[in-house]
This record gives sequence, C-alpha cells and structure tokens, in this order.
Amino acid sequence: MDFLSKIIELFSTEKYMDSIWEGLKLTLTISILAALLGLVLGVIVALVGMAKDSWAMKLPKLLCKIYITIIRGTPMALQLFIMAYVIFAIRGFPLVITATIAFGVNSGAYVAENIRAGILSVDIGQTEAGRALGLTGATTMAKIVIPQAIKNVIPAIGNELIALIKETSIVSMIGMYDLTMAAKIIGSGNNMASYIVPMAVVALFYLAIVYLLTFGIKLIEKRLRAGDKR
Amino acid sequence: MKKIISLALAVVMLCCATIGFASCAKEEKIIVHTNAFFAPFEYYEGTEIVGVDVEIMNKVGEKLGKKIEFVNVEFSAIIDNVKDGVVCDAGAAGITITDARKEKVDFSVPYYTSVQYVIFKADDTTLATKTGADGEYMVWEALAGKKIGTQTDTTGWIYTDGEINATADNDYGYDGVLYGTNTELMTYDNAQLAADAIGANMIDAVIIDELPAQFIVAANSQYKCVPLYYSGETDADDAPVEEQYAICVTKGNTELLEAINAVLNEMMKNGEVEKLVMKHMGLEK
Repeated sequence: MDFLSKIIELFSTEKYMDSIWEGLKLTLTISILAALLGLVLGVIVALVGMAKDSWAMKLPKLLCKIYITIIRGTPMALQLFIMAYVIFAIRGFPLVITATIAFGVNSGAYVAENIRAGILSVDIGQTEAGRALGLTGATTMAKIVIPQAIKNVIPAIGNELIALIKETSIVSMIGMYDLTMAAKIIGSGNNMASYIVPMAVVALFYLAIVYLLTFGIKLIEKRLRAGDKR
Repeated sequence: MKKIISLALAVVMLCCATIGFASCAKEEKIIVHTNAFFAPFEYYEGTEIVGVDVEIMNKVGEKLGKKIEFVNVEFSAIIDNVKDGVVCDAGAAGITITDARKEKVDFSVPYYTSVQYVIFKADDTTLATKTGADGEYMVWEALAGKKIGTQTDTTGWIYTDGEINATADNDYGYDGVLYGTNTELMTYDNAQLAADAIGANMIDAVIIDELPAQFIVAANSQYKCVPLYYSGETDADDAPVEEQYAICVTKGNTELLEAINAVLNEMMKNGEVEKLVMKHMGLEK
C-alpha cells in the first residue's frame, strides 16, 4: 500500500529521522522547562490568591486575578506570538527561552486554578479540627490540608501537563524546529511533498510521549492512594 | 510579606536577565529572515536551512566580513520584521517586488524572474487549459467559480484576491477578471498545505510560484501544473503572470543593500544564479 510504503520510507531515510529527533528534542525541552516554570508559578499564584485578605496582600492578589483572567481568556497561539514579536523582540534572544516563558506562564494560570480547586476540595472540618487541637493556621495548612489536597490535585495537574505537551506543537508558528515543524519539513515540496504521512507519524510520537507521562502519573497516584481504604 | 519580597526579587532578576541578553547580543552578525518551505530558494536539508538565497547571502557575508544567520519565520511576517529592523536586517525568501512592499522595505536588484503556476488534479476535466507556442497554459477565466488555494501574503494570494474582489468602483480601481464569479479564495500557511487540500477535495486549484509548483507536482503524480496567463485580445496575446524576486533590507541600511546588489550583479553576469537554481533543483549536470 502507498501509505505503508511511505511510512517505511520515512523511517528508513536518515535525513527524515534526523529531523524527527531534532524536533523531539525541542518539544521535550520546551515541555519540561515550561512544566517546571508553570508548576512554580502556579503554586505561588495559588498561595497568593488564597491568602487571607489584608492590606499588604491586596495588590498581589489583584495581580494574580488579572494574570489568571488574561492568560485563560486569550488563545495560546496569540500569547506565543506576542511573547515572540512584542515582548522578547530582541536581537539574538534565544527562542527556546521565549517559548519556555510563554508556555510556562500559560501553564501557571491553569495549575494555579487546579491547586486552588484541590485545596478547596478538602473539607473545612479538617481545618477546624486542626485549629481546635491547637495547631497554628500554617501548620494546619502544611500538615493536614495540603497532604490531602495533593492527592486531589495530581490528576488535574497531569491533565494540564498533557495539554501543555500537545500545545507546544504551535511553536512552529514562530519558526521553531519542534516535532510539528519536523513533519512540515519532511512533508515539504523538496522532500516527500505530502503532509499526510509525516503528520501521522509525528502524531504517534506525541501519543507515545503522552502515554509515558500518563503511565508515570498513574504510578504516583497509586502510591499516594496506597493508604486509602477505598 | 516574604512572598511579596520574593516576587519583587523574581521580577528584578527577570529584568536584569533581559537587559543582559539585549546588551550582549550586539555582535557583528547579519540576521536574515526567511520561510524555509520554498525549494529551491530556501528549504530544510535535515536540520539545516539551505538554498539559492542562502548561498547568495553567504557571499554577501563574505564580502562584508560578517556572519550570516538565517532564521525561519512565517512568510507573512518577514516584510514587517525587516521593516522594524529590530530582530533582523534582511529578508531573503524569493520575495517578489511589489509597490506595497516597497513602501515598507528597500529591495535589491531583482535576481530571478518567476511566473505564477496553477496546480490542479490531473484528472480534473472542469479546468480548461489552452495550448500556445510555449506549451500548455491556463487563463484566469478558466478558474471562475472555483475554490482557489494560495499561501498567505504571497503574490499568488495578492493577485487572486485582486482578480476576485477588484472593480473599477472600489479601492482596487481596476476590473478583476474573476469579480462576481463566485470564486472563493482560501489561504494556507504554505504551498504544500494548499496542495494537500486539493487532494482532500477542499479546493480545486492552487496558485503559487513556478519552481515550488514543479517540486510538488514532481512528487505527486495525481497533480498537474501549468503556467497562469492573462488573456489578451486573441490567444496569441495571452501573457504569463510574471514577477521578479529580490532580497529586501531595512530602509536606510545602504551598506548592506549595496553589498547585496554588488554580489547579485556579479552573479547574474556570469550566470551563477541560474546555476544555483539548477543545483538546488537537483538538475546539476
């Protein structure tokens, strides 16, 4: 069959496989760095957003609200475009950093909301019990609420990581050499001159990455739930 | 309070890093924007951008004693990036000289004359072609009522948009051949995506420059391509849709422009441009 023979041709041509490995490297680099940045940012924003109302926290809380509203309310492709062509329109600025910041900032907003939802999901009775036993507010949070919240947050964070990895496919828009760009190059006129086969092959690579990640998350969840009598 | 301080610190650190990058990046390097999906002028060979434009610009770099760095961006972004001159100095992507573009950037001398081609399914009998002295061709009128695909912001797109939307009464100021014929224009990120759209029955024809069209047709036996002509009074007066490629630089960068012109003039005199095109088409003898 034509489709199969073209897949074989793709996998057996060294030039094409070089493209795919190069793209895979960049996709993984951006995904991992952006995920780390997103987690850190998300935790900070969630904690600031949930802090008690006080005079000193007014401005940071407002900033966090604006941040989440803007990031969740605009398309990722436009955020990436603005990062690359407006904010970091500096000669010779490494695009990897631009993309990492763009995706990290985007992911941070979603992670913050996931964490907030996780903390809120812990029954208020748990906090009351902690305080009634004489623990301080901070200790109650750290020793009672957060350990329970983490269990609830992990699936949602996993979801966000998966979405992040797949969303990095738009970096080819600013000319970066990721997996999707590799497919475009392999499919371009001077190579295979058809997008269909390379796009299908690259989709398999994304599937493999996401499957591995899902597997890891399942392991973590299993370990965390080991103490539950469910 | 601690959180506020750490947040403030983070912001300060980010600013410092940004300023640091901005100041250390002022090396002697010429950054050229391109769209590397335009074989033989520029395309990816594995992980490297190569092609006719790359070889021309490398010669310019040698002449000026500066390093040339090619950056791959969307074709529609090149002119505006070169106009701003912040992230790049020049654009080399088989760019056609047009009046609208001339207002934004300075063009070098033209180094290649191209004609517009139409790609369509070889077994599509609804698209009539004519045969002239130079072989088979298609006139704009044959595309009436069809769905036409183009690459965003290329001349194929500009011309087709004009033929479909122009009348003497609106801003265009001339009569478009396809005006009022229900012809639809679709735009794609690159020519290959548009060509795949024919195979997926989304559109009927693609209008794109000659050489990329030939590359696509050579690798896809179900497609066929012929040059696109303006029809004249008689069949003998039909003339191809011609255009000229040039390299563009930020307005006022005369040093670079003069170097490019010198290199191009020299290369055209001894036929080197044609040779490079042949070489990158894989037709070298």
